[in-house]
Amino acid sequence: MKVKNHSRPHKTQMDGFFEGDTETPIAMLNLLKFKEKAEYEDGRETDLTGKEAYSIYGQEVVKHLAKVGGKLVFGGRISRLMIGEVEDLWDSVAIAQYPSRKAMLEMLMDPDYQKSEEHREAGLEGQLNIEIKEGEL
Amino acid sequence: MKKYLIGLVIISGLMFFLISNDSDSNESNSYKNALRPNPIQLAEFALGDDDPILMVNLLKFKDKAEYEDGRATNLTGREAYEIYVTETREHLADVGAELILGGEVNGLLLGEVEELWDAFGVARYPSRKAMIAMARNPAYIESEKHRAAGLAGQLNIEVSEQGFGF
Repeated sequence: MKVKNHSRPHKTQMDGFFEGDTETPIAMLNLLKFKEKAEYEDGRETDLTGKEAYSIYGQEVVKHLAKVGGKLVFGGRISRLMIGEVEDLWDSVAIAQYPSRKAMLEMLMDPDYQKSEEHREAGLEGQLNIEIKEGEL
Repeated sequence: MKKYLIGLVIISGLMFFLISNDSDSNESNSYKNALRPNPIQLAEFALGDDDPILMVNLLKFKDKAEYEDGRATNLTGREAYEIYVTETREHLADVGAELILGGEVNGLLLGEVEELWDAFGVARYPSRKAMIAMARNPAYIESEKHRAAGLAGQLNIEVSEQGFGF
């Protein structure tokens, strides 16, 4: 089976996100793959690794999450796969909780958040972002 | 006429592929869900350090449960797996581990997978030893039959929670 990491959603993924339930809590599971060296879109010089640039985003995003009532549940470095196989294993995993899709959108639209995003884009090669409805399982 | 329609379907399929294959995506890579670790995975697991670990499970269920002992059942794969989860909460607690998060996979906002997983769960173990102790417990091995009956396959991703580690 194929898996493809992206750094931005497709239009169909964005559209799908606004359809249906935008009011109840969701969690977002991020499977992250970093660039070796950070590359900023404005072309600035940097010695940061991709992971270091993304860490700046990670630290700032904790505050942006708090503003909309969300939080980072956990994040960590992926050591290995215990079951299954992936050709190019992700580097890190992070799970964020949001009170609703609406709250997540509010964060994404916040100019402060968008400023932090430059570090995300500089550091991230691609990711899966899996929307999760927390429940009994 | 029929041929023409098939051609149209193929072309529109290709168009979709080209559009979705935008410049933000990196090369696709393959993955394979599995039911159990392979011997190399087991060996590497056993050789790791003894810090707390998190196990992120991405789960794909069978439509209908199939027990390895061939017993008759009307359960769906998901129902069989739910029996496993209910029982395993106790097995986890016995070794000081817990399920910290779980639920349904709704969809993907970023990236693509050929076949999306159905559900996910994250378990936290105080150590590798604790996880091995659970896996060897005869009561767990009994519960695991429901897991194998319900699960088509999964990824089980070992995560170190050291320093929040982005």
